[in-house]
Amino acid sequence: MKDERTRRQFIRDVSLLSSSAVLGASMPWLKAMAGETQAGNGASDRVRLGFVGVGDRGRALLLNCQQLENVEIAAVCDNYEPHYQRAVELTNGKAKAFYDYRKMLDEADKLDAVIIATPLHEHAHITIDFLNSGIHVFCEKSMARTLEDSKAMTLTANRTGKILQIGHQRMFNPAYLKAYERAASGEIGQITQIRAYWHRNNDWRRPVPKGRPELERKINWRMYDEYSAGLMTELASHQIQVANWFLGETPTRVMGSGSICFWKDGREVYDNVACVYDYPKGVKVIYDSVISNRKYGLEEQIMGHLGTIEPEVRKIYSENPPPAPGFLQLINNLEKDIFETIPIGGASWVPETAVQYKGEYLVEDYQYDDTLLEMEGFVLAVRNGRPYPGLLREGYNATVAVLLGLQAMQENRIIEWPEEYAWKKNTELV
Amino acid sequence: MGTRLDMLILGQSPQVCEMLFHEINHEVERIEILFSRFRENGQVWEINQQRHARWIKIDSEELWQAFLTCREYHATTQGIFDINMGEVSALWKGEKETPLENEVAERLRSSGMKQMEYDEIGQRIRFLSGKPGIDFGAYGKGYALAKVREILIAHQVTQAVINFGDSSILTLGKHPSGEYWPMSVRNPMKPGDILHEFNMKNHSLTTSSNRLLADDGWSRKFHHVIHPVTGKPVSEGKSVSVLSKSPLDGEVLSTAFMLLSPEQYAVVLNEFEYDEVVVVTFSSGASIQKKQFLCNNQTKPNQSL
Ligand SMILES: NC(=O)c1ccc[n+]([C@@H]2O[C@H](COP(=O)([O-])OP(=O)(O)OC[C@H]3O[C@@H](n4cnc5c(N)ncnc54)[C@H](O)[C@@H]3O)[C@@H](O)[C@H]2O)c1
Repeated sequence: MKDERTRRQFIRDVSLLSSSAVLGASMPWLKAMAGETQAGNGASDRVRLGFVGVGDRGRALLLNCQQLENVEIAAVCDNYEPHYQRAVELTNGKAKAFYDYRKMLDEADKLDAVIIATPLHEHAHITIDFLNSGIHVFCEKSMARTLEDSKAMTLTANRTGKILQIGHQRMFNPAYLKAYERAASGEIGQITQIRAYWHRNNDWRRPVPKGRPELERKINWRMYDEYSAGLMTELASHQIQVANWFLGETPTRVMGSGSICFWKDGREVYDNVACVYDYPKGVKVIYDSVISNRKYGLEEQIMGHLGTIEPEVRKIYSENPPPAPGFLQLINNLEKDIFETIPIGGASWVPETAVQYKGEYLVEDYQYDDTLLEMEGFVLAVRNGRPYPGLLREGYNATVAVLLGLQAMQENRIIEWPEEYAWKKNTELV
Repeated sequence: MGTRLDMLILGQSPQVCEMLFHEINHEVERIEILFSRFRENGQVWEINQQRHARWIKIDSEELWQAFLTCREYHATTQGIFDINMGEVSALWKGEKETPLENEVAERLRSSGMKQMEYDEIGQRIRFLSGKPGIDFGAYGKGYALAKVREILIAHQVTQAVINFGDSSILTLGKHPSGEYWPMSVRNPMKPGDILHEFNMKNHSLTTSSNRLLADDGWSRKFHHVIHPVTGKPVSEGKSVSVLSKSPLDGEVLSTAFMLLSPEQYAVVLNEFEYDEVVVVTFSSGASIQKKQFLCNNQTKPNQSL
């Protein structure tokens, strides 16, 4: 265990969180994880994992899984030589290595689950093949490059009863869980708008080895429309998932505008996107992403009539700031039956010098590795052999939403959520 | 006013508290709008846009009463409490720069309530010269607190503390484990220290000061009351707290005391009902001088009841 502190802290927090009625009911993975973590390691059955796609993300996921107890990394697969080699090294040659995932499929009986972190257009067929072979799948977000593929993956998971978990790790992040609980308790009132953005300032490219220009499309798959929906599937996906989750709804329609505005280097995907998502009852999610300025970073500003949550910075703000310190002391004293003078009176208050209300932290300040927690959750589900109810729907709906956003931008029209892709709460996708 | 409003109401159900909270908030907001000079197209703002010499009809009964009451306060404070100093005080808004002498003098000539004429039958006022600078600041706050008090009493509330951004506190009844609400005023020059302790029982407590402690822990100079004769704020550090039954009297008295000279104190106090007035002056090196006036709630000698 590399980061014992994080893990212990997490166990404590998850145990606290899972006792909340709201979270226990709506996020079943929490309850399961709390039960597991409280009972000690509890990992009696060894889980054998395979990895397909050990690039940037795949490598991180692999390192995370190596921290988990009773988990064996039995197989790795990558069709790019340097990454194949790296995967072999990372697993000290103990994992069986493949260039072609279909060869790995042939030995599926030696695996309980696979973790897929290939480029977006390589998600669907690999996922479906493994599910059909009776293997549980964790697949990175977004689900797939097309609506059809996303739906096919979902239907396959539902038909086979195998686990399909999509890599939206914020659902495993204690700050987000706490935020969700407080929003669900009504603390920020009726949410009418969520403003979300992700801003970076770089060309979003990976270096291509000298003298190997034919590798450009493989390495920089994010730049090409055929493989990726650009900022929408790579960044927005996480944040639209958060919006859907907090609102408990999916968008009814989306309008948007995208452009290649700054990085005119032959890429096909937009470097500047803006979308407005309409949700039922007039609620809106306003999204934008650019990669030519990073001042504002990323955030989801969840706004209700009583307060605001900014989960990326772990903060909650009330529309009515808390009482003055003296007044709080007065209340505390009353509750404890203390009779003593309260230092409360003071000079006239002027707005410019009024206390800058900086909100309140949702959870303590330490770095949760939500990816580690997400992997922990997945392995636990595999061990139990059952998917967490509701989790796949989140991944699916986030994916459909971002793909529709791209469509709205590309076709320059308002796109309604198609009936055949609707997967509402308590219903089946058909 | 732009102040923060904290309320503590005891002995009522949560539903009643909630209802009171909304009613009080609503009333305070209404009064704030009525008396605000910043609200474009608000009545006070409109008055301040008028040219001198023209009669201005005051339609709102409440506003008209305010003009009348402030005229009385002007008289009972030796001409110190003055609601037509807005044009001069605007010159002192900058924290660092001191305005030019002649600029102040010029504005001062056409400022002050001496420029105002009332037509009581027609419910009109006019300004003899200059641009109107009506500012109901202290009056509005005291009036709002008086209204809050009325609401609480009308709903049979007997124990409550209402805090208007610390500068004005209204209490009803007493602390559950004592005979009064013990409240003290902080020292704006020395964080953590207190200037004076007050025993509040159905009182309001208001503090005016030209030094205030910002949340960064530094005290700041702050000129919000301008002397209607000199056109200047008081330069020495001063803090005045008034404990009284009437929040309106308290606000006016604490504002006036910021500008009154010690020789005038007794004469002015004689015109008011108050329980305790504490005047603190800060000299260099953060040493303080405190003057306390106690009235024990006697009837004003010159008033026959
Ligand atoms: N959840 C998150 O926060 C997060 C973060 C980064 C990336 N991702 C997701 O992870 C996925 C991969 O992204 P990345 O940044 O690691 O990209 P990458 O290009 O670094 O890695 C992809 C790897 O897959 C390999 N690959 C491609 N096709 C293959 C195939 N058919 N069989 C075997 N291997 C194959 C490539 O050789 C490469 O090593 C994407 O879907 C991305 O959206 C998620």
